[in-house]
Amino acid sequence: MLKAKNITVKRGANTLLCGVDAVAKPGELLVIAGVNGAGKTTLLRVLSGEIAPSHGEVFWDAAPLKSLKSREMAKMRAYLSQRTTCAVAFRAIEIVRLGVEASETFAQGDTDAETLAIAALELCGVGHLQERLVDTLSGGEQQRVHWARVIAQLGGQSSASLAGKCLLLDEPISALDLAHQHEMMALARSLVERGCAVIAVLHDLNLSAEYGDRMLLLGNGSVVAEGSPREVLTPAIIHTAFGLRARVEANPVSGSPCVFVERNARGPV
Amino acid sequence: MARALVASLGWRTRPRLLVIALGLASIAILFWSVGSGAMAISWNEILDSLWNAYGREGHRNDALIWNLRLPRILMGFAAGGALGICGAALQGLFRNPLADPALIGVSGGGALGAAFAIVLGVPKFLAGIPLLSLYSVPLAAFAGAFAATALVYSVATWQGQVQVATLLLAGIAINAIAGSIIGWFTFMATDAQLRELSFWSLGSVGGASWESLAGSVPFVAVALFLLLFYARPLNALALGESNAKHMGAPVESMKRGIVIATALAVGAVVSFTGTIGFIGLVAPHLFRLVGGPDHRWVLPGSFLMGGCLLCVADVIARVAAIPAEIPVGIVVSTIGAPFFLFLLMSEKKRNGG
Repeated sequence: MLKAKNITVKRGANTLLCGVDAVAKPGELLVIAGVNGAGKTTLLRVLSGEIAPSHGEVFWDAAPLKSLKSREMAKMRAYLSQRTTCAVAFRAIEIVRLGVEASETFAQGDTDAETLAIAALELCGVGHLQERLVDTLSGGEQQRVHWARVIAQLGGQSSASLAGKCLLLDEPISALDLAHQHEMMALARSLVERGCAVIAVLHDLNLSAEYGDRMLLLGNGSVVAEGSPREVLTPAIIHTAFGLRARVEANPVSGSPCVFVERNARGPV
Repeated sequence: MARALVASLGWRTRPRLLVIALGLASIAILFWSVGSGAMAISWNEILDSLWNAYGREGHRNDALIWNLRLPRILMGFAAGGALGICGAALQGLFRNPLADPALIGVSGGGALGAAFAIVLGVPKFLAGIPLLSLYSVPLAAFAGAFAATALVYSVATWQGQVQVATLLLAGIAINAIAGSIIGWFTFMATDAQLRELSFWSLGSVGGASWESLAGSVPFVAVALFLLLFYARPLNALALGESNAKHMGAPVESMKRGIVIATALAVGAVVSFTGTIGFIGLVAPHLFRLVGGPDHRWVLPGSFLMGGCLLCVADVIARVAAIPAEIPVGIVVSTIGAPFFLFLLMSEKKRNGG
């Protein structure tokens, strides 16, 4: 549904992305991984339509992304950024209501919008924080409130099908503890099962293998490897992408590939 | 006690109630202002004059109310309202509670235009046009306000997108340039011109007439109408430009709309009243203290709040030094600034920091 073809992004003298292809498919969770500065966020922003590529084009179904109105796109595609700061003293429920309003699925009434917002907050395990001012919440709690906002934008808190919708997540679990990391990835998984296309930038390769259907490994603005976690997570590819010596074994609990890294004895070179 | 009462209302109820209360207060203040001044007029006399003045001659209050007080009071309300709602919209746009209509060059440009007209007068080739010499100062001020804002806006536009940080810096630069040129005009001015110039910069609604209302209120009405449509997009913008875009907010057209609405509305009122500072900064802030940050309420609330503040200040300007009249800009800053400081400090104490 969302397809990026031969994307190149240049900013001044720097090439951030060079000839990258990426596809989001309904009912699939695609993980984008790679070292810092590899172009993961840039690719996600290109896919969202926020920045226009220097070469190449992004398509939503058959239509070029740039021909679509942002208000129409907002009903089909939501974007969770790495860090979101709020300029004013909004409460958690007011933040999530912004997502509900963007979805334009509610009848024009505050109670409806609030009911939908509360359902999204509860889905993300932060229903009890709905009345709190967002800047008094911890980093992880704030991140889950914004999860609730993007889920509300896609209508993910109701039981409707999410076919034709796409969720872009930029490091969506960076502030979360271990339990909540798994909780939110399982939530992303459940959206995928309902037909949503999800693209997530993740740093944790083992979580990627556990929850992802497909992986796109970026390095220095180009694709290093693409395929199922089993195809991508090999010692040779990990060495190319991260410069690390690693072993890959089956996770004894789940059977997914699990990466074990040799300790770095030298520090940065 | 008032504070406990306010706190006992839920955060959802407070903004709605405050807008209603401000609406009622506006009506009360408008009536009270008509009755106050060098000559006090009772409520009965006001109502009598409002309903029955048409077609009768020689009634002592009619001329005072209809020709002097009503125009200036309505002008004061429109000016305060325009400053308030434009301040609120700009604070939302800049994501900064310190923003103010003066920031994008409206006031500086207006003052420059006025100084030009006061010191140099109407150019010879335009002198024949009727009304032009009569309204040369407001027309020049309006043109200056609009030109300065357009300049600030075009400096901040790059490849079709407005850089908000550049908008702010360009506004500071243009204000400084306007200030330096005003300095030259001040240096060139005669004593009489100097007096007019400094009174213009102090701000006053005393010169208002039905004609000047007709020249400014339509702009304020258009801006009010336009800005109220941006309430939800401004809420989304609180999360930053890219998040707002991802949520479908029309970010670029909103920037244009807010800047144009401010240039028109504030430019139009300031060209008749002269520089009135502070209301654009304080009215939205006062509203948010009680009513919270949701722009669906902050925008209309700041309009009413700004209108009320300026009307009250104008009453004080009229009665404090009878028979003289103080420029309202002085009253606003003399009372408003310390009050604002007091509010900030009590707010700090309440939040325990």
